[in-house]
Parts: sequence; C-alpha cells; structure tokens
Amino acid sequence: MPEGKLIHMETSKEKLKKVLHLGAISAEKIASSIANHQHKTNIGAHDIFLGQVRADIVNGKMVKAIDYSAYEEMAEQEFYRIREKAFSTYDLTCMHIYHSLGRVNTGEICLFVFVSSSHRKEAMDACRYVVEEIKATVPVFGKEILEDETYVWKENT
Amino acid sequence: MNISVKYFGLMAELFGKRDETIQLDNGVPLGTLKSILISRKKELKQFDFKLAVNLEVITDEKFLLSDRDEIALLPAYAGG
Repeated sequence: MPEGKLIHMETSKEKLKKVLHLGAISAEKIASSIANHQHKTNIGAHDIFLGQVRADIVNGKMVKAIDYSAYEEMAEQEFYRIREKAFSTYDLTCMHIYHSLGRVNTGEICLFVFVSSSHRKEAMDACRYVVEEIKATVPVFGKEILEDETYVWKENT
Repeated sequence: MNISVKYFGLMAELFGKRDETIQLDNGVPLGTLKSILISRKKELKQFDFKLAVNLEVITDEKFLLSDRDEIALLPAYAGG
C-alpha cells in the first residue's frame, strides 16, 4: 500500500478523539500542537485557523463572552464527517479540530483548526473548507453574554 | 409510537425544557410533529430552526417517523 494511504488511515483513527472541550483553547495547546508535528518530516505546510471571541456591540452593549453549548452527539458526528470529507478531497497528512464548550471570554480562542500537508495549496484549501463547513453544519449554539450579564443568542452569518 | 424530542439553545428556553417523550400515531410524518410543536408554542414560527432525526437534519416534511426516533429542535448555529 502506498505510504500516503497508510498515513491517511492512521490519522483517520483520530475520529475517536472528541472535538468539543470545556473552556477556551489556550495558546499553549496551539504551540504544543505545532511542536508535536515537528517529527513528521513529510509535512511541508500547516494551515491554522483560530476563531476568537470578538467584542461585538449588541443592543448597544458589548459582548464580554460567549457561552457555547451543543447537540454533542450530532456535533461530533458532523466534525468527523467534515474531517473525512476533507481527507478524501485533499491530499493531507494530518488534521486536528478543537471547539470550545462553556464560557469563552472575548479575546480567547473558541475554535482551532490545524491542517497539515506536504504542500501548501492542499493545507490552505482544506483549512478554509473545514472552517466554512463547521460554521454551516455543526449544531453548536452560543449565548452572547453582554456587559450587564444579560444575553442574546448568536447566529452565524 | 413514542419519540423523544430534544430542545437546544433558544428552543430549550422557548419550550421550557431540554427533552420530552411525545406519543404519536404510527407512521406520522415529520411535518405533523412540526405542526404539533408550533401549536404548542406559536412563537416558534418566528425563528429559524432545523429538525434532526437520529442525528441527521431532515428537511423533507413527508419523512416518516418511527418508534423511538430521536428528534432535535435545533436553532441557528453559532459554531466557530
């Protein structure tokens, strides 16, 4: 079996890792993910997307956090589906996706998509595909907590 | 037949619950359940929502439900 195929099968087992994790995604986690790939010397490019909670103004008040919840069983299934579709469409070596649950303050990271490939085009195209699919198809819900502790339900655009 | 209905986000607030079991006649289509939900909470019509059956979004209201199906009432997504 060609080596490329073997790598795909190894990384497909990552479907068993959950994507949803309680709390914000730390800068240390992002850095250690990069470090963990340094021994994979067939990789030539990583594309990384970080979603950060933004201090929007809603009803004249500033957002200070988003509280994420999800239909977890279905969300994990959709994350897996998106990952598998990306692997079958693009020639990738690795992919990791993490999404926060619970409260994430403005300025903190709520989504981390990390895509690796031998060449940059695949990594960049796949990363964009994955991010757009996540926003469109994964049942994650967000309460925008405003500065006075009232909230508004968020909708992706 | 008994189906379980799960409510998420804004929908859980609207209906005042996270889940319940609803008894329906055998072979009822998804559209009938949708009408039942709207008759219980008329405000539902104002919101964008999706219905999932056994973890898959179903848009066809003629889709026939089965005993022990899990239906989810999903408001607008906010992931990422």
